[in-house]
Amino acid sequence: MMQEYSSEQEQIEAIKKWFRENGLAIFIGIAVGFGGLYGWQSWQSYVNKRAEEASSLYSQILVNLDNAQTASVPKATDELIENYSATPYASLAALAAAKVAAVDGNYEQAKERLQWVIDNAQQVQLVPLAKVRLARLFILEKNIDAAAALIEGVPYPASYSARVAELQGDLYSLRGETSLARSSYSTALSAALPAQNREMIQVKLDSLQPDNAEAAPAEETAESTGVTE
Amino acid sequence: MLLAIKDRITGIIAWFVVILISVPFILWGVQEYTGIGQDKFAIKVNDSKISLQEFDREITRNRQQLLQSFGGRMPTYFDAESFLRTQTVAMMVNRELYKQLIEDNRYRVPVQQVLSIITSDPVFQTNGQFDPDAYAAELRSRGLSKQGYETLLRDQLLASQIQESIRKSAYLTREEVAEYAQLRYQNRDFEYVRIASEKYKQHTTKVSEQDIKAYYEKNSDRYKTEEKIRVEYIELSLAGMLAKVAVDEAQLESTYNTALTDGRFKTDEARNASHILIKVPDGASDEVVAEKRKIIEALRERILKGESFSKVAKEASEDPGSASRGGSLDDVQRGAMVKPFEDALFAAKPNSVTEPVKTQFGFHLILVNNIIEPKVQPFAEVRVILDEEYRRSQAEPMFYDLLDSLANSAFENPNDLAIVAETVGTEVKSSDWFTADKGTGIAENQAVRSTAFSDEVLKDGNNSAPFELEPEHVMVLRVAEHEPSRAKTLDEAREQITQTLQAQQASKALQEVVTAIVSAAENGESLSKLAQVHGGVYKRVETNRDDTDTPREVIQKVFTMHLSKPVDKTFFANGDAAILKLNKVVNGDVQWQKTEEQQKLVKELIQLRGQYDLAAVMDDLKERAEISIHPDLQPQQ
Repeated sequence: MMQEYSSEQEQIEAIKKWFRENGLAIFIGIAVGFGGLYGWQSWQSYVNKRAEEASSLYSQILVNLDNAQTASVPKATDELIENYSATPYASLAALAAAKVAAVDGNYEQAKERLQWVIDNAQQVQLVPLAKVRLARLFILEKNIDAAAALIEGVPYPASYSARVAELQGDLYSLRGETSLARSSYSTALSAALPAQNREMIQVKLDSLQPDNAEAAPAEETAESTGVTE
Repeated sequence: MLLAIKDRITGIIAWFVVILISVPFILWGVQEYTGIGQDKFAIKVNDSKISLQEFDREITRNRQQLLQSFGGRMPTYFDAESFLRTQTVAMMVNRELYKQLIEDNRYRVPVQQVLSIITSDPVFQTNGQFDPDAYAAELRSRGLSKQGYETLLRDQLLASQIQESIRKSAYLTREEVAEYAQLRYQNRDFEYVRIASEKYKQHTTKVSEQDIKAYYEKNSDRYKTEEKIRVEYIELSLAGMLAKVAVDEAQLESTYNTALTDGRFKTDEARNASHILIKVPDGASDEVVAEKRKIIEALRERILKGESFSKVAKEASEDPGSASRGGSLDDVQRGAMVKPFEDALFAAKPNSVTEPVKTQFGFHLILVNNIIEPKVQPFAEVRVILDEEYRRSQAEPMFYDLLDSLANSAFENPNDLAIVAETVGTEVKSSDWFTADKGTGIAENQAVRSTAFSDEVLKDGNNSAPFELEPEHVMVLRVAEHEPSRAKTLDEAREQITQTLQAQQASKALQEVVTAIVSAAENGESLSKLAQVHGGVYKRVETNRDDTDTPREVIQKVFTMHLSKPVDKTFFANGDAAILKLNKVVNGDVQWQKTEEQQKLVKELIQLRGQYDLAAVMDDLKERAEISIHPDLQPQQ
């Protein structure tokens, strides 16, 4: 490139020659570039279209939940899971289907749906939600080990602490560890809770059997609230 | 080739090109060092920044909305600006979180759905049809582009889709409801005895001097006198100075006369009148006007022939306000009516109906029922007012002058109140002892106490700055004597200690009785009999948690009890005790979801759980995000 050209003519000749040698490569390069761009855009619009389809399907599930016409929910959920598992709607549908099954008393089905969310949800915030819902079902089934595996030693976001404390209390209560259950329920009640949620925990706390080990100190505290000035 | 370029492009142009090219290189990364361009965002959520300008636009919008909802004036009872700031920050953070959630997970809504919302919005319609021009105009007025608005709408739709999906997927199973209902709607059969503490307080024995001494020695650090002070002060009050002004009676009378010529102390003439209106529409043709004139003339004829004005008014007047009252307008003063009406009214003779009067409303007939003559208030009646005014006019300038010298003198002589008093021609007074929160005389005033206990006055021993006790009543004070908090002597503490010991005795006596009843009841003795023996009030109840006739303390206790340990006790806030015995527990109905009311309750419980789940998910989202907020926008302490 550093040589000098004596005339315009020579320069043009040199450029032509360079093009003959490299033209094809440049052309292919440009073609690949544009092709890639086009491909990327098509892919994007395809993915968006799929998400829109999934959204429409899922909207129908929400409407059916509202109208209590839940018979079609499992099928629609299966379709979303099968064909649209890359969209967030598959997980949301699974949560809805879990509800339908649980309300029907079909815990097996409900557990399966929640487990799917735990294993497949791309939106990470749905995982702890599915976990506490699943743990609740295990507790209703009195399946202590399975519930414990979801609750004990499992990290949860801070916003779940009251829920997890309640579930832990249920677990202790099932195991007959009354004093531990009592302290777990109290922990749950110390959080800011809506009144009704609080009551649901309070009645469980109230119904715990007294255990003799702590009956004595409890009386001590009662005494200290006696007549004072 | 580069050499050829180098050879041909020379001189100024070449340098220009070189400089042009080098500028970006020089400035590249310069902001990293100077700090320009940093901290320029209002809010940063993960990698996405919201600029200060954007924030300003948003807070301006919110401010306008807040202003509107308060009727154009910012309320002063709370810090509206800081409220706006925190609200706007929270709103924008939330919106950004949703936006990122939508993009990261590719939440989507069909474009048609967005478009159908836009086309069905009445704001964008003309005659019930979507109007693209109206749409464009409306968006311009909101300062939004079409694309911007459609994205905003889409994000709103998706945010509510996300919220609903969490809320509506919440549930309670039949079993959960049954378990809850069994406990929540339990009925319990129990009995209890309430023992009043009062009785034991009265029957306490004398406390021995020895006990008091022993208790005092053990707990002397609990009994302390309060820190107290006595102050010297000077007062300056306008009220005091008003009293000293000498008032000249002749002066007052001449003021009175001037006031009369200015129209003061005089009530205006008023006329008690009635009217009849026949309306003439705006822009009526001459024919219509003539027609209406005929109607009113006819009405006038009827009245002149002897029909009562009020009867005709009731029947024919088109003034809805007065027609039903026989046309009565009550007392009318000048300035209350339109000009032609007023002129006719004040020119009319009493008890004779006027000619038709034309006003902008139409034709009126007016009847003056009687004239309320203007009245002049005599000097004796207004003397008090004039006297007060005169005194104020004399005393006020003096008061404010003295206030100035008081402030200066108190500042220049921080250690001497007498000089200050002399400057303003008053004397130094002194107060009784008072504490930081209680005092008599001038120390009843909170301002006096807080000033006296301020560091400047108490610690540094200076004169206080002048402060207001009430409007136009000012004080300067300094500490005369100060007694810090110290341990009380036995004599000073005796009363309190005696009370404490007596309360302890009473408590112990009650405890003994309670323990005796509990163990007797545990051994099978009847609670009602025990109540008789020990003078308690006995009750047997079968009830649920919602019972309001039984004391809260008893309900709360009894629902935590178990048949395996059926006797227990509880105490009330006033010191009373209750001994409870649980007889029977009946669980709530397992088939609890039967009635409509119960189903409604369950529905509410499920909705609440949904809300609660949504809150957890959103908090989780927030916790995981990295959010930073410009220091100026953070709530201030």
